Amino acid sequence: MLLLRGLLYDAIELTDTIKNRLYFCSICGICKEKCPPGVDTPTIFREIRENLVEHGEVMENHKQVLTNIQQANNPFGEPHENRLAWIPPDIELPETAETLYFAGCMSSYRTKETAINTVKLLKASGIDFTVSKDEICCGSVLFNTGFTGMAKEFATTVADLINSNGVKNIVTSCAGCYRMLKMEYPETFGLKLNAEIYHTSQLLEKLINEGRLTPNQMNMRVAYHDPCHLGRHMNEYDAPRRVILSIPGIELVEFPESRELTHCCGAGGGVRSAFRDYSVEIAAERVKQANELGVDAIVTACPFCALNLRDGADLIKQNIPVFDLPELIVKACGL
Amino acid sequence: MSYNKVTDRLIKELEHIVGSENLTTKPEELYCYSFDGTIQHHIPEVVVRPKDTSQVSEIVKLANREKIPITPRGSGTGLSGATIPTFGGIVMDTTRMNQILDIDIENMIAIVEAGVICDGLNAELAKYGYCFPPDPGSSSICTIGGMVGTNAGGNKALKYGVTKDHVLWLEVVLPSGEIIKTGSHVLKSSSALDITRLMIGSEGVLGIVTKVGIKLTPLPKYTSTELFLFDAVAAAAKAVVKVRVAGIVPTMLEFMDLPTTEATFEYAGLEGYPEGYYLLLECDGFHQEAVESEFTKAVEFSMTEKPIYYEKAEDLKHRDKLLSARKSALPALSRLRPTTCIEDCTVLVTKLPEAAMKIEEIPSQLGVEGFGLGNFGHVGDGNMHPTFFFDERVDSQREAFYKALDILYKDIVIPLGGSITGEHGLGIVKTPYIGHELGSTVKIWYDIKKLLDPNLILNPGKGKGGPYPLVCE
Repeated sequence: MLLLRGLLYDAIELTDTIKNRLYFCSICGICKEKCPPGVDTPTIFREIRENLVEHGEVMENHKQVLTNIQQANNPFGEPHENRLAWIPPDIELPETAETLYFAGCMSSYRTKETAINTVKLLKASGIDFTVSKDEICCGSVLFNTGFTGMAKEFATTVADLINSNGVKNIVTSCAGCYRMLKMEYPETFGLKLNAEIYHTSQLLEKLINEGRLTPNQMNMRVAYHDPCHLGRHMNEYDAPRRVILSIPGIELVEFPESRELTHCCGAGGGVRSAFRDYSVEIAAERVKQANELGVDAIVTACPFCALNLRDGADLIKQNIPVFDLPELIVKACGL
Repeated sequence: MSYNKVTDRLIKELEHIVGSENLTTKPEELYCYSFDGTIQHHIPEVVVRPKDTSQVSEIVKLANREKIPITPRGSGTGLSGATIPTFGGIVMDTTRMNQILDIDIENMIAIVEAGVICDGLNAELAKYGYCFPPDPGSSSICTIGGMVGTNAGGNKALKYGVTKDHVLWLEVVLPSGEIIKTGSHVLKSSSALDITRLMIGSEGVLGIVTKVGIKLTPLPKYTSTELFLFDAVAAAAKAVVKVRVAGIVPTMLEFMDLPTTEATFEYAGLEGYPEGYYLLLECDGFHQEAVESEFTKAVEFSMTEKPIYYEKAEDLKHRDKLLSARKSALPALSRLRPTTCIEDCTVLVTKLPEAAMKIEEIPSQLGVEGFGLGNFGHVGDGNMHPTFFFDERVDSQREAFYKALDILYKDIVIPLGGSITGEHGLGIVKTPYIGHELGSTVKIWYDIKKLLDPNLILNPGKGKGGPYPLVCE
């Protein structure tokens, strides 16, 4: 914040070092959480990045992400036509349904097990759902790296898709997509979605309570990692925990920094794109915490957190499984 | 005063002492070290982070030899500008010296390095049922060394005293680089000139504190707390006078004026209270009957000023809720305007009503739109923190701030026989007023300063180091 003050008052120049500092923030929001006056640092960082982008001060990797999204509707530049390739061949989905599963880019192209396991659970529970072949990036990474205008364009397209489909409910397994759809779309972009937005953890809790999913005994000691976008940003700490605790035999252990004070996995805010090594080192610190707790596995509720935590475990050569929540529940339900 | 610049050769020598990873000349990092908790700032030429006393000594010897100014700094939360490197030079960040070296419960003494955080120390001591009582608002961040530098107080200073009342001895690096220990490792000694208390509150102009020998205090077992709201500042202040004149020494008597109470109650989520001036009374101790007896008398005296509301804490959770408003005074006020400057003054308790009323009038006296005041403080010992909020980017408001300081110190506090600082120190901000408070006495400080620091390298430009008038870059 002092650096921003210095730039504002022309006391210091924007050097590459300062630019890197301004982009080397996952916008996790823990500073805002701890700040006594509650300075809204995440919003300030987003706005300064918007300003940097306007002046052409963009990280090279973020430029590539932007190009990828513009050309292929996902940050990886993978062919758009492959977006639904993760769907198992034995799972048939209707053209239309009451509930739309929004897989998100990460689950569609990288951590496919999140999407696959989610649809297995939805199928097993008898939910009337489908996915859309027209699904594109929700705009989260663009929004957090200063490409606000482009983020709004994609958000508008996604909103039109949802509203034209007549769906009543949207379910997403990605904490970032959940945050965008539920909060940023209406509050920042003025886009009203004519559907209820749920994170997978919230729907899973409902399905388990209704007896539509029945987890079996699973003797395991796990620590739950709160994703920043789901926990601190959207105030959802308990649904994932209740889902985990619904598994007989599970012992849930809290990280020393959890809930409002969760230790960011290091991936968000464009950090993994632009500073891969540092991002994974941050994740490794979280894995070290898990090791000190003596848990059998880490459970999280975000495919991006899962990805980075797994890379963090690999970095320090720790063979500790990292489960995204749908994967854990599929195992528990024997699906 | 003039000093030499830090050269590349000197940087290499400093790197040799602390390691290149503990030294920086990066502009963006130097800029961050330019600030403390005030609106003052000045950029240093280099920042070093020594690990131990010997490194501090080597750095100081080098600076003395080369006539480079050094500004010692803990966490940088000071509220008077004492850690601003007004002449550039070296900033010495002491936060790497952060070890609790010894806790000797049987003898009720602890030894800590200067960079230990106050709350961190108290978290350790609490395991044994003891504490280091000074509790400034920044206790979660501030260092013990910084507290020694300003003779920090806090909410409980009324009963438990300030930093100097709990320090037995110091390890100090003098401006020559010589390392001294200022006192004896016992609870009571009369064997030495009291260099310990000369150093405490000297704001880093006489020496750099590296270790602190602390006297421990048992944690009290019983606490009684009551909130009062009054409809006039005079009533709240008179309640304080009555309690104190009766010879009662509560643990806390904390005050907030109307704007501060409104801002803090909203911040802390306290709803359903009438608008009023806040006074929190607390007594603590080891014997419940004694605590209740003293507390009841204090409440009786407070009630004679007819509060419009009162609420006794039923338990510690309730107490924390009532106190949370007071503890959030600065963060709550800092949300009102872009710039917040907290001041610090002390008057005799019997002068409190007059001082509080006059302070309340400062914004209307200046009549500048956008310039406001919230007053709060540890009124049990007459210590208040008038806090000005404004926008420093607006010329009229920034000018109003400096006029407000003149009114506060020259027209209100000093004529009432008060002191321009109770616990924040002189630093830069209050230096212009010290002559008005203490007259020619301050010249002796410069004689002492010259004796210990003939090259004037240690924290120059700060009030307690002289000379007067000070000239800053």
